[in-house]
Amino acid sequence: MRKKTLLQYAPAEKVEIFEEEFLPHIHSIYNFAYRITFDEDDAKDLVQETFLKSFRFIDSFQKGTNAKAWLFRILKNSFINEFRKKNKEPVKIDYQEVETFYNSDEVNHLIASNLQVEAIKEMIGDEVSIALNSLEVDFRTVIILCDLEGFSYEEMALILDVPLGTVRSRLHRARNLLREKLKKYAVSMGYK
Amino acid sequence: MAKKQKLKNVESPCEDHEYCINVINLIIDGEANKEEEAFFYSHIQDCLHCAQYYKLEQSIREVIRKKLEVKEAPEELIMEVRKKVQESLSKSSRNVR
Repeated sequence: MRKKTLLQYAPAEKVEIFEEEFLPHIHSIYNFAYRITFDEDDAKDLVQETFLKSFRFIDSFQKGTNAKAWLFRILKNSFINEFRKKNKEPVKIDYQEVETFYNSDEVNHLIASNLQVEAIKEMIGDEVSIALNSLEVDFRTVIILCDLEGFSYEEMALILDVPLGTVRSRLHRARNLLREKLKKYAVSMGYK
Repeated sequence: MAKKQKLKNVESPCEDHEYCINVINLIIDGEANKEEEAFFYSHIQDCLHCAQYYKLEQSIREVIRKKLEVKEAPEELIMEVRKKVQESLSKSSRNVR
């Protein structure tokens, strides 16, 4: 555990950091919150919680560093600690079983050869959204962080508090699952 | 001889496709090292299967970036966040006094 130095900003400086470095990310944060909760009110609660925490712990944030990753990390922790706790029964999925299947060479080959690039290009936002939303939250999260928000693997490891290798493997699995979902749509659109 | 080799590769997928998939994803994500980059750019010219996979992965990323609806934070939420931050600031300054 790294020991963090507290910076003790003056009140005016805190507001300045908040306004200039934190608030510009509120749309990304809200979008992410919505994509992991599927509910506007829950997303709003998570965003409020995230920004209030970011302000409360602002002294542990080094001005001018990666505010976006810092905020996403707070959001992720709030989601795990509070939001998931509220829903008494957490979603349980046998990831191992799913992952083993989707990691096999055979499946990669099958999916890639069947799904046409043209089919993907024809897809509209709703179809992509449904496919993404149907992934388990941990898989959905890595796709959003990487593809939509453009975080590096290292930043994702920091946000999710997992080793770099876990980021890579989770992303790999998530992509296989997403491709499979998109393939189903492609087939339903008449592509073979 | 070279032509024969090329045709053979086109017909059957590469020997270690799992490795290729990983490298292709690293390339698209901008996370590949020099060795992986070199492998990719030479391999992609000979392996139709991987070239197709690369295009497919690229188009999936593109569709996510361009077609996924991005929800914007409502204005009242931004106001509320600002208000609460101001409140917590004045509360803490009162405590200092």
